Amino acid sequence: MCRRRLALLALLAPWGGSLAAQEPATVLQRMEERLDSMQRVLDARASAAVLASSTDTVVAGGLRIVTSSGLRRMAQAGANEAWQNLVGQFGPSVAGRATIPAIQFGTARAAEPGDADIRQLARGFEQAAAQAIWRTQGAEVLNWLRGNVPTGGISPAEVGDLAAELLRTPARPNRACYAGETMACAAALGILVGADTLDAWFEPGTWPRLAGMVYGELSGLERVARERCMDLGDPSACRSILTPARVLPPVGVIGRQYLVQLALQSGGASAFERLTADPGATIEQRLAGAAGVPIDTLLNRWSAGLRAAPRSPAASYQELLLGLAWSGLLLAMALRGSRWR
Amino acid sequence: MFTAILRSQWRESRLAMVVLAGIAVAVPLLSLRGAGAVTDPWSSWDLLRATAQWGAAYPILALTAALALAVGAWWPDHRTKHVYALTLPVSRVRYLLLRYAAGLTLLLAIAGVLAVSTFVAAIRVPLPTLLHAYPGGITVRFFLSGLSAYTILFALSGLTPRMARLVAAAFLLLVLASIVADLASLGWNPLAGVVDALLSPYSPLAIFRARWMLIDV
Repeated sequence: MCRRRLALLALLAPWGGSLAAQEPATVLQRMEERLDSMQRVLDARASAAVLASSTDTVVAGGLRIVTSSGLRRMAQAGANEAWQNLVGQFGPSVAGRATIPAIQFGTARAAEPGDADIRQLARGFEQAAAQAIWRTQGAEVLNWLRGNVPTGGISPAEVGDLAAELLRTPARPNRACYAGETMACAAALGILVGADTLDAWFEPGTWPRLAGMVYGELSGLERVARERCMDLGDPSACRSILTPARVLPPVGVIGRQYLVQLALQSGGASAFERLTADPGATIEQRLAGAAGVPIDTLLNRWSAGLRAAPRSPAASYQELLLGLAWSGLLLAMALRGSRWR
Repeated sequence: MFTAILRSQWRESRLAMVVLAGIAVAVPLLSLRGAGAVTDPWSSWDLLRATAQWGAAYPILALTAALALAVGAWWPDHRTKHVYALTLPVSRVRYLLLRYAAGLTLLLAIAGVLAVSTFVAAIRVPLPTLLHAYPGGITVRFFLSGLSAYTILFALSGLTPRMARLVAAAFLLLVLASIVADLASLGWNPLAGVVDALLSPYSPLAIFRARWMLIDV
C-alpha cells in the first residue's frame, strides 16, 4: 500500500514545480484530490480484477459479493442483511446510487463453516460498503472525522469512555462542555473553533507537556522545536510543533463519530443525504441539516448522552443476582456428594 | 463449632491472609500517591491514568484471595485424610457449610480491609471537580468477584478423585478436539467456545468484567 502511495506521489511529481509557488495548504489539497481520483481508478481496477477471477457472484441491492459456490448461501444471507442495514443507515436514494466496489469473500475452494455467524458477516459487508459510500459522497464530513468512517454504533461503554476523556484532557472547553455548555462542546469537537485552534483548545501552560505527546515522523527542525517547547516552554516553538493535525484533540474521533451518529439517528431515513447535500455548507450546518434540529440541540443531546453514561464500578443488581445465583448453584453441587475425598 | 473451624482455617491461611490484607491496604494508597494539586491542569489526566493502571490489581487480588481461601479450606482435611471431619458428630453437608462459611468470613475480612484502605485513599486525595471516588462500589465488586471465584474453587477442591479425573479428562478432550478442529480447518474451535462462554455476560466470572476504577467520572 505504501509502495503504491509512493508510486502515486512519483506520478504527481511533474506538477510539483508549478505548485511550488502556491500556498502549501492549497497544494496539499490539490494533491490529495488527485490522489483520491487515482485511488478511485485503482479501486475500480481492483474490483474488476476480483470479478474476473471469481467463481460466483452474489448481488443484494447495490452490493456485489464475489465468493465461491460453497459460500454462496452464507454470502447471500449476509449481503441481504447488510443491504437492509445500509438502506436504513443511508436512505434508499443514497444507497441506491452508490458505486460500491465488489467485495471479495472467501477463496474459490472455501466451504461454509459449521458455526457461521451471518450477523457478523453482514456487519463486515456493511462496513466495507459504508466506507465506499462515505469516501465518495461524504468526503467533507470524513475529513472532519480525520478519515475514520463511522461504521457500526458507538456502544454505551464507548460513550462512558468519552465522558472520561472529556474530563481527563486538560482542554479549555472540556469541563464547561461536560456541564452542558453547547458552545464549549462545539469548540471541543472542532466545530465553530477559530483559526487559532491551539489557543482555543489549550492554555499555554499545558503546551510543553502536549509537545511531549507528539510522536511520529518529525524533521530535524521539528524535533528541535519540540525540545524547545518541552524544556523552555517557548510559545513559538510550541506552535510550530502543535499543529491541528498533531495536537491531542479535546475529544477524539469517537466523540465526533458519536455526534454524527446522533445526527443520523435524529434525522431519519434521508439524514445522510441532507448531511452531504450542500457542498458549500459548514460542518455545523451539515450536522444540523441532517439531524433536522438546531446544532445547539444536537450538541445538548451529545453532552447529555455523555453525562448519562454509567461509570461507577459498583455491581448492578443483575450482576449481584447473577453472582449470588451462580455461587448458590456451585455450592449446592459441592455439597451434593456424599463421599469424602 | 464454627469458631473452631474458623480458627483452624485461619491457622492454615494466616500467612496468605496477612500478605493479601497488606496488598489490599497498599494498592489503593499506591494508586493515588502521584495525585497532584487540583489546580494543576493535568491533575485529572494523571489521576485517571494511575487509577486505570492500578485497576487490574483488584481482580487479581480477589482471585488470589479466593484461591488461597479455597485451598486453605480443604487442605487440613486432605492432609489428615478427613479423620478430624469424620470424628465430628455433624453431617458432611453441615461440616462443608461451616468450612465454606469460615473461608467466606476471611474473604469478608480482606474486603473490610480494602474498604477502609480505599476510603482513606479517597479522603486523602483532593479530587478535581466532576470526578468521583467509588470506594464502596469497588469493595462490593471485589467481594462479589472473590465470592464467585472462591465458590468455584471450593467446589473444585472438594471433588472426589474420580470426579477430578473426569474433569481433567474432559479438559484434555477439549484441548485435543480443538487441535483436531484446527488441523481439519473446521472453522469451529470448542476450546475457544468454552473460553467465550466463561467470559460471557452470564458466566459466573462475568463479575470480573468491569472497569475497576477507584476514581472515575
